[in-house]
Amino acid sequence: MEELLDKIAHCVEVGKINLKTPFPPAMKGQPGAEELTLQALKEGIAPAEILTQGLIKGMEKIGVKFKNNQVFVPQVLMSAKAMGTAIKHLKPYFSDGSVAMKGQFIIGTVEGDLHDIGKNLVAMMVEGNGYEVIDLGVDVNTEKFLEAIKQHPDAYVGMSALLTTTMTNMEQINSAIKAAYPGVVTFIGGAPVTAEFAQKIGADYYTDGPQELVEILNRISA
Amino acid sequence: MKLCRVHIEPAGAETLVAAGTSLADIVASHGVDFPCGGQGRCGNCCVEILSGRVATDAGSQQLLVRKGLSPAKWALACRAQVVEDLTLRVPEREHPILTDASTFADGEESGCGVAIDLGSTTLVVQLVDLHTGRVLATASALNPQSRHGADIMSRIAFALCDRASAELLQRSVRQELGRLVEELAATGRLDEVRKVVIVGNSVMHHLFCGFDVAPLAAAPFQSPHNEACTFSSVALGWALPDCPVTFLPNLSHFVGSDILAGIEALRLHRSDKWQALIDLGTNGEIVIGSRRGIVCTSTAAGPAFEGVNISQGMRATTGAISGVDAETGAVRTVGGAAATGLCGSGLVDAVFYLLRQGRIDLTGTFTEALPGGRFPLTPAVALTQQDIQEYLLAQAAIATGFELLLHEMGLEASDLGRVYVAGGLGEAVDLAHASALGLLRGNLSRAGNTALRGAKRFLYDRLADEAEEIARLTSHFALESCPEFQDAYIAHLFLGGEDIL
Repeated sequence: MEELLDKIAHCVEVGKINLKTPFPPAMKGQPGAEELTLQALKEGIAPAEILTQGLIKGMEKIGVKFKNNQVFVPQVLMSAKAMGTAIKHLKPYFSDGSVAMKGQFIIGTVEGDLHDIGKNLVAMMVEGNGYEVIDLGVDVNTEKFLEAIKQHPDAYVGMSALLTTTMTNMEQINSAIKAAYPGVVTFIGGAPVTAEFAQKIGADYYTDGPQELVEILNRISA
Repeated sequence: MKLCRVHIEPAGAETLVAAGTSLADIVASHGVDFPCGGQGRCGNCCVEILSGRVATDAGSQQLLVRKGLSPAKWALACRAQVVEDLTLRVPEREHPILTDASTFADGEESGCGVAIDLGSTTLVVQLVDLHTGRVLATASALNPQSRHGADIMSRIAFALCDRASAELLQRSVRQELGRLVEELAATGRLDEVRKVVIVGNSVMHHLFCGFDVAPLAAAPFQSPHNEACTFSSVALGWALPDCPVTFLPNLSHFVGSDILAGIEALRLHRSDKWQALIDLGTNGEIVIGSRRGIVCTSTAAGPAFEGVNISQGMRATTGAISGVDAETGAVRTVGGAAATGLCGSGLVDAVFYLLRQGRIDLTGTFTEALPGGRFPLTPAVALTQQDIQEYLLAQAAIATGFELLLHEMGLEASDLGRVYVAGGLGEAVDLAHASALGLLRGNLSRAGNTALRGAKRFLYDRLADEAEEIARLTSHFALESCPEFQDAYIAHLFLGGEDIL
């Protein structure tokens, strides 16, 4: 069992999605995260076990490598894709309560900004580390964030912006969230965003990348 | 107020300025580049201090040391102020600018016209005899707005600082174009000019015409002003007879009249076969069209192709590596000078060379650890892991835009007659290498300065109507609304053009 879970973790780490995908070249023609997850379910391994000891482990490893500049965006996106493809087969077990998630995370790219590669990367990484992600998409205004928090009052909230011209919209959204829901923890990120900016607008955390965000989430949700 | 005398070599120019004046303001007109917009980050604006002393900061001194220059002898112009009399030497650079020598006449008309290609980086002004269609003279210069950022997004950010900044950008480019028009006076034919046509991207359009660029800075990107604008040459203060100066309309929020002119130059709207036009830049524009219709899109490639965000990136000026031999690694530089950096075409070639030689894998990762994480192309210029990643992001944006536009139109790359690559980078880049990496595909061909060529055609009344026709035929495809974007983008983040998903 452990060996199979390790294999799943490895597939996620190197971005091996399924049998068909030719990446990484060294694993061409071999089963990927998807087939191995299905196999694990068939062998009766608990879905929670597959998630935490397989998929999440692989995501953790790639997250650390990304943080240390050992791998880059392409590899992480492939890992996230492998994770995302495999996790679909576990989703039926999430709703019946047999897999406990660590928490909920609302994420969106702020109003005026349509960039979503970075936001999606963070969303996949957070999901890959065992959180339920509520992805509001791009060009998300204050009302949409507030509505999502109303439905998921215990969720953490992440805001992304890639342009200096749209980063400023974070201030208004963050203030509105804090005014309506003082207990909600907010995160901001994106290329032009800095820790000073987070402090200035009263957001709780700025993180430089997905791995740091996941580490903070794990700390404050524990 | 203390005045200081600043002597500038090799031009031998001398100027009196107030103490505290930034060196950037003094040397900007001497061909010094400010890719990061004067924020002290890129280190491209260094000048040599031959005598005297300047006030500067520790950060810029560290940057100089990293570049192997002594802070006692060199200064970053954007981070140094005049405190006493000075003698400076600015690096001598040639700026190859792509013009267009083609002759086109539409018979009926007489007199002269002026066609202007207002690019983010370069300005080209041509005087045309409308009867013969012959180009009488060409004048070109760098866009003086470059002082405030190399790419259009940083230009927008600067314009949004305050009203004065936007006005400064407008004034500087109008004045520089006026100066270029004066250079054409040597032909003795300026008094015959009856009209002027300007083409440029939508940001250049807004800045020149004096429209607010804020709508171009954020979604939904709906500017109320994409229309053609006509000014009087006299009101602009240009040395021409009183005649209309028309900035042609944008096709959409991020596809400007430079592309409209490109469509006209290539006659896409009259073509039986589907053809494509690609302009590689911070904002990559892609058009596919035929007489059946034209669809355009724009894709955010980022400024890597202009050398921004590349550790030793620079524009295609003297000393820039513009090509790398795929077998030997020998570099080619602009002007044949010693290599001091890397421009867009050099970046494409360098990545191709590394892939071909097995020094990087298809994710762009170095296959073995390198000292300092840098691969030296020459003793002075190296490529970092991060540089290759920046390239990949730009490649993915362009290739994804092209693929999704084809898909949207129900076409395959093999349905296209030709894929024209326009502009300065299109001219310099090795098309076979770009294709092998997965940046471009199809039956590639260089198209030259299609913006200028089309602008010349639009000088003729009969063809001016075609601008309307093309605008009517053209629709915009919004990539950002496409659900397949993410997967396609991931697939194109890998080198070699193989289908990865």
